[in-house]
This record gives sequence, structure tokens and C-alpha cells, in this order.
Amino acid sequence: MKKIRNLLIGMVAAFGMIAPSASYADPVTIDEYAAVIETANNYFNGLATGNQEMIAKAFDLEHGHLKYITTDKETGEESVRVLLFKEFAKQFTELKTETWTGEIISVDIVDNHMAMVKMNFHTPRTHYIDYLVMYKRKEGWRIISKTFVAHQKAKK
Amino acid sequence: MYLIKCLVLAITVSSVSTVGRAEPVIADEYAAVIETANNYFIGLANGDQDLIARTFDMEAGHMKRVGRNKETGKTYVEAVPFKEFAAFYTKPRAEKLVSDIVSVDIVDSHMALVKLHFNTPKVQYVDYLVMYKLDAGWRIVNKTFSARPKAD
Repeated sequence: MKKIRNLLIGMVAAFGMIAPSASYADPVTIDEYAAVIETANNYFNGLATGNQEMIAKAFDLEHGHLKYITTDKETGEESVRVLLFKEFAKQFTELKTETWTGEIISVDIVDNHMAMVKMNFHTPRTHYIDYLVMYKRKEGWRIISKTFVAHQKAKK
Repeated sequence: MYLIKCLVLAITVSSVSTVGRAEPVIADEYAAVIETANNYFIGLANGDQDLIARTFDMEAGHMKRVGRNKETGKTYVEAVPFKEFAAFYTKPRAEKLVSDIVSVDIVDSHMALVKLHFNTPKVQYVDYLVMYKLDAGWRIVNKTFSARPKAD
């Protein structure tokens, strides 16, 4: 009987050693989501305010491309036009007087390494839907590809 | 009263028959986008250049990857035009490759993103394939990926 009691006391003591460990459980939240959103916001705010520093913190200016569909006026044939980000970024050097609105629709992150942001980009005349593909670099998340669909808004 | 009854009956019959002719239309872009993603996988796995050409936008498309310089340890992004990338795939692969589409997103039947697992015996690649719909059909304009080495 005494042996069983000692065994029980031993088990309780052992559980007591485990229990405090459980209470120290340290939840770790990976903050890549916030960092990816920050890059998307830098992209939007950089273009809207013509802030080249912010744009440089959003785009991979060396390897990034904007790609969009153009239609040949004569043949009516569609093709994809490619513009390097360093060329595209040059078009945004001044603060826009009109109101632009950005809205992130979805974010997908793979292995804290690659991400995709889908975003609404509204100007008074056009609603753009962007796909922004990013890679994580040493200096942070950078957009390496932008593609979009554009809708002209009805005149009010 | 009789006239009103007839009028109500006529309106009812006409509206019911209109509803009966309603024709549901399902946009079939989803199937077309998946077909392009499958052509991409099968084309690379079999080294089928015709299939690859029906998948990639050879003029404007790029594969982009993050590389690491072995000497400096620094990472860099490499952008390889699809026509160069596709040239590596001319023979069927001897090993077993398995693909699995994780998700599909389509915007206005015009632009799409497919997330795809591309499994080789040693590595699972997670691909993002960005597509535009052109006159010739859906074509991949960007491929990016993350590689996950598998445990032996």
C-alpha cells in the first residue's frame, strides 16, 4: 500500500514538473503578413504621392516588370507589353491632386519567401485590379511582377 | 371581372413560360485556365515543346527566381525569358513528377493566378503562374516559385 502511495506521489510530482512547462508555452507569430502588406502600401502610397524613395522600397527596380495587354490599333491583335519597373517608376514623380484609394483584397504567402497580393486600386476614372508578386530579399519584400485589369468608370 | 381574370391568367402564363426558358450560362474560363496550367506541367514533364508553346507567352513571359551567390552568400533575383527557360525541356523526365493545383483566381475572365504544387522525388516546388487571356487563349506571363527540399 505504501509503495502505491509513493508511486502516486511520484506521478503527481512528475506531472507538476510538466505542468509549469506547459504554462510557459510561447506562441510565436510570424510577422511576414504585416511586412508584405507594408510593401503593398508603399507601392500604392509611393505611386499616389510620387515618392520615389517609397517606390524604391516597394519595387525590385532591377528585375521587376509591369506587364499589360495592348491591342494593335491597325491589326486588332492583342499582345503583352513589358515595362521595366525602373521605367514605370519614372512616371510617378508628383503628388496626385485627385483622390486614389487602395484596398487589399487578399494576401498569400509561401514559406516566408514568396507572396502574392491582390489589390483594388481606384482613381476617379479607373478601377484597377492588381496582382503583385513579391519575393523576400535581404532588404525586405519587393514586388517583382505587377499585372492588372482596368475598368473605366461611368462618368458621373 | 371576366376580362380582369383573363388578363391575370395571361400575365401569369407569359411570366411562367419566360422563366421556363431561362438559360443558365456558366463562364468556362476556369476550365481553360486549368487546362493551361496542366499543359505547363505536362509540357515540362514530357519535354513537349508544342505543349509548352501553348502555355507560355514566349515573347513577354519570364521565370523569376531567387538565387544565392556561393562566394558572397548574397541573394539575387534572376529573370529568365520563357524562350530560354523552355529550351531546357526537350526530353521526357525519367523521374516521376506529380502536380497538384492548390488554388485558382480569375479576374474578369481576363487575368488569372494559379498556385500549383510541382512535386519531383526530391523537391516540392510551389509555383505562382500569372496568366493573361489573349486571342490565342490563356498564356502564362510570369512564373515564380518557392522550393521545398524533401526529407530523404
